[in-house]
Amino acid sequence: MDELEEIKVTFFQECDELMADCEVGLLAMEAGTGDAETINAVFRAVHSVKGGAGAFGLEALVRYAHVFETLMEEVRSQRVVAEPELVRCLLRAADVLADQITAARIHGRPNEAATAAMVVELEGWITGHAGAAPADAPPASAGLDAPIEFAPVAFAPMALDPIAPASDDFGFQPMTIAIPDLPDLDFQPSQAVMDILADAPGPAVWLVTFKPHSDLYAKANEAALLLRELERLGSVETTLDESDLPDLENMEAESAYLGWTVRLTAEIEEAAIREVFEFVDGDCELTICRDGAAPESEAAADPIAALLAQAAAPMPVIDPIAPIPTPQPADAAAALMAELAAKPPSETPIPRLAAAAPASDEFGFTPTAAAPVASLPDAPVALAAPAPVEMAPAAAAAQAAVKGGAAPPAASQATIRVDPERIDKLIDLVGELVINQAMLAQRVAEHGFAPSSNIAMGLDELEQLTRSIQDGVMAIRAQSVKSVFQRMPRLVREVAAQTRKQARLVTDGEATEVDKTVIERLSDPITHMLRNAIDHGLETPAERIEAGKPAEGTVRLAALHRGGRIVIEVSDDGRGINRPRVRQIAIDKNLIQPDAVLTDEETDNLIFLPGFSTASVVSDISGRGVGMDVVRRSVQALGGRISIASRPGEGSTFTLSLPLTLAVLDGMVVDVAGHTLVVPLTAIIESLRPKADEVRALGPQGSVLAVRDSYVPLIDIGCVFGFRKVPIAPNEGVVLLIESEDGTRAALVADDIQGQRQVVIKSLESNYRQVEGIAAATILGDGRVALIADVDAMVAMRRRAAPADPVLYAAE
Amino acid sequence: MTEPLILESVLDLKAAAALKTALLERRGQPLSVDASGVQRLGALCLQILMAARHTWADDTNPLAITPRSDAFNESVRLFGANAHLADVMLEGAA
Repeated sequence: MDELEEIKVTFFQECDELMADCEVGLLAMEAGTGDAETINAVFRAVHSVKGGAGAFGLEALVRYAHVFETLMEEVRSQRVVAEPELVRCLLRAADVLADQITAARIHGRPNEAATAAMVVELEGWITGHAGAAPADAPPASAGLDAPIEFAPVAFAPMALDPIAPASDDFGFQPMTIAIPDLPDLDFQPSQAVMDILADAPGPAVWLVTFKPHSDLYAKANEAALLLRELERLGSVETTLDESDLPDLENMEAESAYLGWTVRLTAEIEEAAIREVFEFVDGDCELTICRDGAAPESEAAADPIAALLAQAAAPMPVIDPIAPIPTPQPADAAAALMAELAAKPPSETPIPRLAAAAPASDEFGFTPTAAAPVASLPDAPVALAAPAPVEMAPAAAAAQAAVKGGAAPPAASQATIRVDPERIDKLIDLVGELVINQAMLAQRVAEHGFAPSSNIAMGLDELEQLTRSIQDGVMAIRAQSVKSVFQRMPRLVREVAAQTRKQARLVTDGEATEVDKTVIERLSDPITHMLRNAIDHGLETPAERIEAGKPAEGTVRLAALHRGGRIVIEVSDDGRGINRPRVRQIAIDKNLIQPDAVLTDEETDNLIFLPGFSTASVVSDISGRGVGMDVVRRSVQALGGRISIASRPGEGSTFTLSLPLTLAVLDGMVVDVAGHTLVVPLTAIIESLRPKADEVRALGPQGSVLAVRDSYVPLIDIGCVFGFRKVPIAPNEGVVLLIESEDGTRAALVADDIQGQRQVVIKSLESNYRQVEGIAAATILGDGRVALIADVDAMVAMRRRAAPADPVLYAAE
Repeated sequence: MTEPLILESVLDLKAAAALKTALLERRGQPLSVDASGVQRLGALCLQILMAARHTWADDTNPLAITPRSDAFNESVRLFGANAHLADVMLEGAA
């Protein structure tokens, strides 16, 4: 993967996070819990997507994001009220944006009709003619045929991503936003624009001088994109500086030699210009000043001269907007300088000022973003001197700028990105460490060291340490289920729309953490259960009102930790499972005998049978040949179980329980015919040594065990795996009473129990091949490989082996 | 005049080194550069073309960038390089 592609991959990863933020914010707005900061967060997310897309020349994405951003800007500045209908529109707009990002990622074509329709709808809100744009998406053609103003100045084929040639088929619509107040302006209004309009109307002429470093190009940025962005802000006169250009022989092909000065006439604030350079911060020299004012880099070069000039000159020349500190006599400034120079550096408020600097127009001084503070050692001190009281407003201004999204996002990054492979490798290694430690412990025990001996105690400490490391490493890979949950609101919206039902998703326990490997596989079952809940569980609005319920149904998605497992619950307040119908379908499909006597619970569980589908009309949503049986199988494959509870008229709850990790497992280590096996502890209800009279023979080979008031089939583990032909007498061995995923019980017979142990799971499939009845393997303390039994598969194998299944009938 | 140098459609970072090499190989003789297929011109390749213009002028060899695509012309305009390349961009766009 070349460098550009790598950066692009990171960009798309960030897009995912940004879209997640965006959705969270919009949902908060929908729920009425959003505040100004929520709106800002959504705005920033969309803005950042646009910025990144611009850097990669993803024009279609930029164009769409721009319209979205503009509407968010209107919402942010409260010119457009965030009424519920608008928020719903924004949610759909976010969905379209996510689709656009996906299309860009896979070099595919976005759904142009949907995009165009969305653009028209967004513009309807921007121009305040929301009524004209119906809440339902207008016909696709409307978006393309609508009389939209074009501003082709910002468009040039050059900026097109060469790998997405389709992107300009779309028709160009970025500059289409007609702001009624500003009909003649061809720049995009931003917060900065509105501020300046409110505070200091009048056109401004900015001189933007920038000279890219070679790094800028190496990072796949392009001066052309910066120039194009500047063109979007207003009218420009671009002057190219080739004074540093060497002759062809001596130049480095990938070094930067050119610089530009852009005279930009636009009613915008400096922050808006800085935004253009947000993504090349540090990779180019940049000065921005008002035409007529001295460029600040010069001021920075000679702070005292600048200060003197400032003191002598009438202030408004430097910055007409800024509240200027009272002019200081030159000698006062010099005195303050001297005073400051005498102070130890730690007492000078440099850091605060530095932080505030980008927005500190109060001083008529704006250090360039490209010039790090370090390169201006004296300037901040000099500025701090004459007006220490100005510090607070300056900091406040900076804060406001950050809040307003005008400043670059906070530089501090709370997380780091690590290649998952590295973590997987670390987990593997820790697994080896655990095994090694167990082996060492075993050898020490074999040599007969007393438990109080130094070596044994040292080993105990090692064991604790190993366990801590293991927990710590597993915690690295643990992720909150949020990443899965946050994809679901969109699903609910779409499924509800398709089924013409009204559904509201309530989520709970998003912060619940679980191993990444489990997270990755949670999405499908949850998706399916949610679809099912809306499609089959919820009634239509009319039916709900008739039943005395609110028209809008509620689907609840919750995650919680319970007993060392993660539990996912999907519940709805719909009609509940229609048991007579489920039973009839099961009979019609020959899944049960017509005279079978089933409890309510057993009836409910029929829906997990393969080939069962209750939808009389095969719908788009659920009836796609994948039933709940698939959900159950995928859950079981993860070592999980799924159950259902339903009350007619009140709704159903699906409960999914999964191990927290797929890397370690608590198991019962048992001996079977000289082999060592591990039985997952989650399946075991109890272990017992049966008495001879509790075992009853059944048929030629089978036998059942009387456990309390019921009989359960006895399964000799050794026979199942072919370790021996003749089962041992159950009263001579140990019986593990297990419950399989479908709730049926069985008694597994082993020779002896070694004990409970946490074992590190080693995949058998990836190291050998799949073996029926065996879930995985592990390495024991003595270095031997032990197989981890797949309890359900064992029970199933046993059932197949018993021809007429007399054992099960007898058990009932 | 020798064979014209036909420019790649995407003249970005990755194309820069090859462009420089291709130009240097043709040094010392009159050169026609065909920019009709250019869809994207980045600053790095622009500066190579500008340097070539100087080099060819110093060598007193004629250099012409023609024909040119609209995208090429638009990019030169965007970069503010029209004046700098005026003498080698005499004819209109292809």
